[in-house]
Amino acid sequence: MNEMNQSITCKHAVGLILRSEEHRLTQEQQIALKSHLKSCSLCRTFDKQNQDIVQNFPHVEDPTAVFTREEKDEIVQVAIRSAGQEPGESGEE
Amino acid sequence: MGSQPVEDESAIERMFRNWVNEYSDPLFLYARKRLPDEETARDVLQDSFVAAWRNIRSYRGETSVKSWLYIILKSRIIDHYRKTARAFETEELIEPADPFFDETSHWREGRYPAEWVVQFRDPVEVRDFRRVLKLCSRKLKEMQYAVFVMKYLDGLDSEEICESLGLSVSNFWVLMHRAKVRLRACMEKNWLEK
Repeated sequence: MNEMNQSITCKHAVGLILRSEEHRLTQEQQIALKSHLKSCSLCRTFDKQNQDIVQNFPHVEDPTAVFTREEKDEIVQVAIRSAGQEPGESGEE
Repeated sequence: MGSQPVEDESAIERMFRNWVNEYSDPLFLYARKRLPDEETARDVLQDSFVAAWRNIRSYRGETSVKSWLYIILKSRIIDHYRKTARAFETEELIEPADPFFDETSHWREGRYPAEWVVQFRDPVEVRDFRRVLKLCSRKLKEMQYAVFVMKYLDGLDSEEICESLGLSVSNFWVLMHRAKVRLRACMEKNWLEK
């Protein structure tokens, strides 16, 4: 059940969980979060699942689409047409 | 290939064509992971090659071609998100009632986080979990996806992301909060129903 007698709300606790990843919590916030998590199983579940998500996200597999020869030719043609036939010297990058 | 300044026009075009042949696939994959859909990724990649062609004479080989092209692409991706962020700063903060938290800011009944079990020692299950994670991350709203990717794929912190995108710190945390809560709910639904 969702305990209602905590000093911070669940929404606030979720915000603190996210900021804690960057070690940005004050001592008071750390204490408030710890106390909230001790008594709120819902936010403990969120906290654990958030860790599952952030640890696995960098390892999500890459898409595998590749360009055909024709698509690559098209990229070249569009680039040359869009920028004018002559390559410039604007030094933009 | 292409590390020396080249003056002859046909040679420059040939060099450019070689760059597209060699690097368009990895550049596209880089863009595709960081942008919300395939069409946007293609557009941003094309814009990057337009910029590369426009500036090809100023390329002096100080960095590798690959690095130079990635610098251009990264700046185009940030440009894309900066434009979206400007719209977000003025419009998107006004949202109807929070679907996940009630008026007292506790988890809304019916949206309580349910536990899921993942055997992270089982490679097949890990692959499945990451497949669902990819599916759910792609359902985030564009700016939510942007801050999520910049933080967890590119390893930037909130200050760096805000500076890159021109976002306020408070709006960054609003975006991240919504992204995480939605992503978790989507994972729960799809993981428990799989």
